[in-house]
Amino acid sequence: MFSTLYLSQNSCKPSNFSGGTGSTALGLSFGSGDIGLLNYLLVVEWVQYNFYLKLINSGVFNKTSNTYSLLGDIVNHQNIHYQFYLKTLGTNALTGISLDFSAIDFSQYGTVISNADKFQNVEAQAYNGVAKYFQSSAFLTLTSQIGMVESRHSAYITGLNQSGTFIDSSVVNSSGFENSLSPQAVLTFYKPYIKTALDSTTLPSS
Amino acid sequence: MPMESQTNPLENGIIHNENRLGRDQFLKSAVKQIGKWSLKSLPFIGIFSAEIAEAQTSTGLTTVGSLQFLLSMAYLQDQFYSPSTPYPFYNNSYAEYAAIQQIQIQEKAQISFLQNAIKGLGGTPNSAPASGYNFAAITSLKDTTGSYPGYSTNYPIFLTVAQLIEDIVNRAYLGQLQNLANNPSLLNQIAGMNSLHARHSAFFRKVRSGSLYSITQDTLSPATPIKPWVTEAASNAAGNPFTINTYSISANTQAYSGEDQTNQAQIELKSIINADLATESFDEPLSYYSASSLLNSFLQPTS
Repeated sequence: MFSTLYLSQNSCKPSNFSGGTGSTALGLSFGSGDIGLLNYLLVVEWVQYNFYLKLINSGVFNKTSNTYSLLGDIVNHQNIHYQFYLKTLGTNALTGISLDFSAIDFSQYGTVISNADKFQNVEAQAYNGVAKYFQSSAFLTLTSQIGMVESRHSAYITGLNQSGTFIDSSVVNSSGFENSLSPQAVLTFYKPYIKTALDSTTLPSS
Repeated sequence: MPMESQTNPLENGIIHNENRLGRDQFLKSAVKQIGKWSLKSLPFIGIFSAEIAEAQTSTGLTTVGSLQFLLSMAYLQDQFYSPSTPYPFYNNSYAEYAAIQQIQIQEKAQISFLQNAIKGLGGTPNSAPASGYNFAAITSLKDTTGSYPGYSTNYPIFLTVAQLIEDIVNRAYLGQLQNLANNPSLLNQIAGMNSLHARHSAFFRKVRSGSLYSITQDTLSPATPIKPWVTEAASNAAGNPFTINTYSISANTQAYSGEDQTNQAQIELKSIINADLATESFDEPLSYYSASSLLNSFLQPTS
């Protein structure tokens, strides 16, 4: 039943629309302020959603397994998050971004899961890192509501990668909190997979 | 009488506007229903009913008030995970004991962090309640069973209570983030603590699902598979534990109430794929009042 859902996502792909916030000599612009932050999270979800589409269609999972079913939930959650930002941003949405995951080996369970662990750790930390920048407390809460689900995903996938664990030691602080990544650090991690030029100079750098 | 209006202001995107009309009603009814409980034994409500004028601003709890609430939850969780007499299942023959030890350390670290953060803002950290806790959730000293009898000896019941508390705490943190927005550095760290509780919940949900450890006698588990994320709001849906059933102030304060939300910021999400997936995609905040009324069930009654 999941494969049907995964194959029906063409309607979700962005048109050739060149980015609602315009472009500069550097590339498509995220825009500034809360719109910039929401466009950043839109791009995060777009990358993650497409990564998980590759993962779920990789053929390395037993389609009757609980693992396949739960990873299928994650694909669908990412899609819903992406759609949420798309609809929230409306004409301000930064779309039309091409991706290329050919550098990742999707032919073996081990590399698929270890890459998923990396991507999901980045996403969980991206949400922690972006919270403090919002001007709107409504969007602070809404995006954190999504962020907590990303941390749940990460706990689950880390457990697949290292049995019996819920967090990688590189992601947790000794004071009892999950670490953060800045928008610039997250976009640096995604850079090898994003083929469209982006101008992120309007996003916070610290 | 409902303690809060049926319309959750959070669900309408009006995050700053705590339900002020419902608050007085809530406190009055809470005190009435709690009855024999002394305010001293109620750190969650007690703190703020005593200091309500000080702790409240027009938009919710003050930064320090909010941190005190988070500290109260950290004390409760620390006592749950690190009891004076270790639980019999705290031994290395249990596959996930190492992870539980990690959770113990994290809760203790959060106590130190929150105490220091309160001091750093000129406040005095509240103490843990002198009367202690009861994680069976008994309602009075005459109640010999409570909602979770055997939690300290029966591993599946322990896991159920662990998941329930983590889910409530995760939601309570989400309800507090806006109160810390004027302190970006602190907000950043508290968001990371919130995330850790989401991970703890996902972990206990996974253990309860039996994918790490075979549980065949989990009488508190529903028949539906348990997922690491929260599906819908029903107490028996997809692994949500049967919530505290002998001490619920109102249906509105049940642990998973509101988790069936499919409309976020006026955007209806259920048609994207389906309603269950839409509810799983967002964790829902709990107000201080709802979260504390739930967690008060774990305080030791004095009579």
